Amino acid sequence: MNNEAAPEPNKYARTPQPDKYALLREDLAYHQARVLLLITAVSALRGHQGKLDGLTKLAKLDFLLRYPALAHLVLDDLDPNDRRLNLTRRDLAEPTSVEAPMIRYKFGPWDDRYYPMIGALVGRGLVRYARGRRGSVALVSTPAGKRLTAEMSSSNEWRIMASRSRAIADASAGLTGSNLKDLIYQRLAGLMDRPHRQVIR
Amino acid sequence: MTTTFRLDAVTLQTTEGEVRYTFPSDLSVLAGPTGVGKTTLLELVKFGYGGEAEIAEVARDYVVEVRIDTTLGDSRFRLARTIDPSKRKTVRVIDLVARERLADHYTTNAEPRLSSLLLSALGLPDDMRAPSRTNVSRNTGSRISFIDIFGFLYVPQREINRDIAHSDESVREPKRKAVFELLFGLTDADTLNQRSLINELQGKIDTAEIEARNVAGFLASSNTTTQENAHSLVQEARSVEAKTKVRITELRAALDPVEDRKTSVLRDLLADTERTVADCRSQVVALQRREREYRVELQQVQDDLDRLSRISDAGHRLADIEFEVCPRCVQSLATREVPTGACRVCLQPDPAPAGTAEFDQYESKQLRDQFNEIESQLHAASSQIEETSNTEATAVRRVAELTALIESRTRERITPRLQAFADLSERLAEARSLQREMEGTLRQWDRLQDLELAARELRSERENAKAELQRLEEALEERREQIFSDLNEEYGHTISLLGVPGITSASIDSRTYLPVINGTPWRKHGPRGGGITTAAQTAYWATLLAVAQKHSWTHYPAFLLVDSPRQSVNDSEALSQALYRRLVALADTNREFSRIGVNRAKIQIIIADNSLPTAYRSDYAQVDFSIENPTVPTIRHPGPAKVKLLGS
Repeated sequence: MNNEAAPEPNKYARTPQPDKYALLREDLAYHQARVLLLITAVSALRGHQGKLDGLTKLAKLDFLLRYPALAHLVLDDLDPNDRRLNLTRRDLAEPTSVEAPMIRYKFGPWDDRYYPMIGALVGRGLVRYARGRRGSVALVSTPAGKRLTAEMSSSNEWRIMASRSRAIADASAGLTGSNLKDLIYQRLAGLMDRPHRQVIR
Repeated sequence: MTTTFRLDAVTLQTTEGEVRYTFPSDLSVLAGPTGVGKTTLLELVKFGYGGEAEIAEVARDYVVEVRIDTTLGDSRFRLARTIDPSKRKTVRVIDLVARERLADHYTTNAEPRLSSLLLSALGLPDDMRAPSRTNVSRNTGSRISFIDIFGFLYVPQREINRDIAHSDESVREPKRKAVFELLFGLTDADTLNQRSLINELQGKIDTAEIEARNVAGFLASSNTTTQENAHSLVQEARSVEAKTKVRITELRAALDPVEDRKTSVLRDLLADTERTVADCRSQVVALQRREREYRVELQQVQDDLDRLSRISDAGHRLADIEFEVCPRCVQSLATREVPTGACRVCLQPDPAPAGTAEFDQYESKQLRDQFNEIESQLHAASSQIEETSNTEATAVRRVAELTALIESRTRERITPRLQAFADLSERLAEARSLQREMEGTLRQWDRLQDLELAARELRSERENAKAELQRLEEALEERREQIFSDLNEEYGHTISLLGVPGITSASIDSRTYLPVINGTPWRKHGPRGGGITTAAQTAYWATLLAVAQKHSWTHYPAFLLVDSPRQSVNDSEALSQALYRRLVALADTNREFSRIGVNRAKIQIIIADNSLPTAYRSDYAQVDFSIENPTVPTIRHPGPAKVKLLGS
């Protein structure tokens, strides 16, 4: 945005309502930032063929990122004491008490904002679409995305999130979205055995 | 005074009627051949007097009851005794003088005893005993009964050529001799009782001595403390007990106020301080719990702040990155003309950034205020925990100090006394235990002394009894000498009169009271079974009767019942005649006494015999029996061949 020039009258302009979408926008930005970290971490690894293949895989890996204390139960290669996860005792004692909970959908945890998130990340040139397996859409960080990720990873706000993303990306190498879905249903049967559209807490 | 004893009549109640024989004469002869029932009749007489007799088959089968009419001293009785074994213990008695039925008497020891009645009638006590005179005897002797007396009056067929009043049976010896002495006044109830007493005392002495020996042996073998030592130990233990009791009482009195006021105050303080410790502990726990809750809450607020910070950071980071492609159609926006201050995608005016910041600040401020508040509460809680913990630590130290102080006071004041109390209690228990033990020992010694004392006393008593017996016997000695002088003279004379072949000298032994023939005692004189034995025995009984008749102070019953002497003298006519002559002479003495006016019991002699010397028929009453006219004439005689003789 450019705030230096005075705004000119615009035929499309309406009465500005600065507070109306501010929180929604920033909340969307928060999710975009996290998903970017995840896509960057996954697409940086050979075990994922340099991309995050499919929205199912994205949703499942994002679930593990948002519920980091459950990740080691799903991913055999992940140690709960892995320093990258940065888990506190409280996290392990209350693994579903998280800052961005998800909703139980028919095929597991999901977030309705994935489409706008992906659209916004691609629109901003941070992520690009790539060819996925069986004709699905895969996501890859662009150089701009990687740069932003690098900046964020060194910030206080995002350092832990970036570190967790790498740990999860590492531990999930070789697993498809379908594999992850099956593992979540198998290992976290108690959490998945609940009505659809219920917040997973 | 020779005592009157007459058999006045015998009545047999048979199944076929009554048979009655009376004996009014001083000399009666029941004559008849063997097998007509003479012995049966005499045995029934003995049975009628309450004795154990040989009951002949005919009597068992046909005689229902035997009735004896008898005169004993001044009394006259009718004694009726049934043959029935189940009822023969009872004898019906009628006092013929008073003409009244007395209570039934018993031939056993049940009261009233028939023996007592008859002895009493003869003027003899019925509680006399015949103790053995050997030194080894410890028995008071068996009771002398009427039947023992009757043994001197009835000479059964089976004995006439054998022994005298069962003299062959040593077991009956004391009684035979006692009865002899009694009847001749050579002894009396006092003397017999004295002998019994001596024997009884000897028995008791033996028992006491044996027991004393046993106890002494036990005390020696068990190495028991001596009596003196035990006594000394008991005294000592009693003294210790008394002193210890006094000491315990003093100690108890000293122990009571030991819980003084200061200790009591200290205990109160201790209790208060312990309560403080408990309160502090409880408060610290509650504060720690609250602190944990604050920390969790603080963490949650911090998380919210972090999320807000991330949201805000993400907003800021992405706000400056323009859309290069349309997020919907993915077409490039690079060439698109966009008015200043408008969204590159929707071309609407960009929202004012100030609004967002304001909102962010508001929420952040709220959260921070909340964070600060929780943090200050957490701080306050922590401070309070520290403060309370300090208070608790101080109280704990105070508790330790107070406990030590109280313990010190208690230990100093009570413990030594408690130890002393325990020591004294132990000493008291030991003293009592020793007393019990020694008292037990002393009881054993006392027992020994008691036994020894009892033995000494018994020995002394026995010596006194012996002295008394000797005095009594000495008093009787003159009479004894008189009697034996007379007996020897009379017996020698009688034997001489009878002209018993082969007997050159005859006397009566003053110890055995039995004949001594040709210097040989009766027991050793043989052979038995001959006429000489019968003659010597008949002469003996005649002698006894004659001497008794001579002395007014004897109790000898003037009665003799002899079964078949003639048969036993082997029908020696001369001897038989001499025998009868002597017996008749005895009977005649009565007449002589009567003539000169001397009051003496009338002698009654009843003889059963086969045949009689014809020369004396006029001098006695005679009842003749035959097979056709047996002694139980109501029952037909089965014939001589079928008779089983009594005693055979």
